Amino acid sequence: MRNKDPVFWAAVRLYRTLSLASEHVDDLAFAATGVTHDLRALERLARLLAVTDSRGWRGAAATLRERLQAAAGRVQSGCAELRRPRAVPPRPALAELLAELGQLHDEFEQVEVRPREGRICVRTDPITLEDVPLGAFSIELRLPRLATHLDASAFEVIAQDPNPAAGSSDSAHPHVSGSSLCAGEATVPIATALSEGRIADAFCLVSAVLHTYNPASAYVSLSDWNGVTCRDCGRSCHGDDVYYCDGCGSDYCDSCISCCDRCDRSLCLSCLDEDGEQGDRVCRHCRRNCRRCGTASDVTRLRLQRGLCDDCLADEAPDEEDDAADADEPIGGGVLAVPTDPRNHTELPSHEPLHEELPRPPANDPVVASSSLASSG
Amino acid sequence: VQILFVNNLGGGFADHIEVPEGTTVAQLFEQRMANSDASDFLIRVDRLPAAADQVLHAGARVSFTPLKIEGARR
Repeated sequence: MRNKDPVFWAAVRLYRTLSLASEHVDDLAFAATGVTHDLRALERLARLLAVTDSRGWRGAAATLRERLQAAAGRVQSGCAELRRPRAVPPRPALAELLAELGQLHDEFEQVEVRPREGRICVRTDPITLEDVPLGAFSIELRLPRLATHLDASAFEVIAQDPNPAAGSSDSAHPHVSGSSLCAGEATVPIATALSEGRIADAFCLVSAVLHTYNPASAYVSLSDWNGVTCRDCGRSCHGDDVYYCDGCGSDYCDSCISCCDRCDRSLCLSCLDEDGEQGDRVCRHCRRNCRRCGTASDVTRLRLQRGLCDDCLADEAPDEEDDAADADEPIGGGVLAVPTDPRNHTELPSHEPLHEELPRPPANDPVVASSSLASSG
Repeated sequence: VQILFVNNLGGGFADHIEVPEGTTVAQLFEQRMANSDASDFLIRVDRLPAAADQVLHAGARVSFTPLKIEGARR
């Protein structure tokens, strides 16, 4: 008996589903109902207006005229909507759908129709993206959902040999969350293929998404697939157990992250220094004492001078100039740009924000060059 | 000759188009998918794999489906 054939069953089910869906898409009947409703309202208002006019109720008549004109406008726009050309997707023939299902067997090694679950399933080959083995996936078209959702959400993607991200057990693929595919650029082509009954094309498009990695928009980046490496101790951590250092911008494990005792910013141990007699561990913005001699100094000046007071900076400057000459790198960086000669000293504005860097001047900036000479001299 | 052309890239539309008699699959790809590499596409004529020099016949169903499409996060 042919009707026992699951492929034939699937084709018939698809035929009915897509027929219903195409009727659903066609809102002509709905628009016509709306116009009929507005027409009845128009008739009723016209009768009432005749009554109010005949009895000389001017106020009521004026109100009714406004309502009548509004109703006439609704009828007019409703008729225009009815006359608008509609792109109703062609209803695919049963033979076409059988051919589509036949093509699935040519495109995929494993195809399975599950009548009880109302699903058509194919299995991909094992997928490896950026050297991360993700295993094979089952792409499953849910026919009951297809009746109301002619788009990628009618598909489920289920990992067959899951290798989920270390940081998110729900992500077996960078573009799959749970069993939902985020089709990205394939969203429109998949919806179009489904609405036209091109089932094999829709499956191929889902497969194409699974075989592609878009690092700019992934649930979990493949570079972090096996966990995030702590920059300090090198331990691999679960994505939820990684902490970001505000100072250097790197990721650290819970053992290697700390915070500034004064501003509470999250910082790694390398970005903190001891400051003061009580041994507070602080960021460079909160330092109150010179990191070399321990002398209390102006907070802003310390920040601009890499934690050094004026005296220690002056001691360090000649070495720095030599280093800069060797490295052939632009110098300044908020150190040499600050005048250290008392005669040239200009008070820094008191309202300057504490957590703001001075712009790094270009290497050939004559102002910096002169400052450099002044500070080194 | 008139063929059914299915472009699964971008809008993913299917349309009946007119092509000169003797047009090959490679020529159609060149016309319709400029700046794309044929090796990045699944090319089917009447649902079957096709050779580049295969001549298109009237009523042929030609589909170009990309092998790689970027997904997203949501």
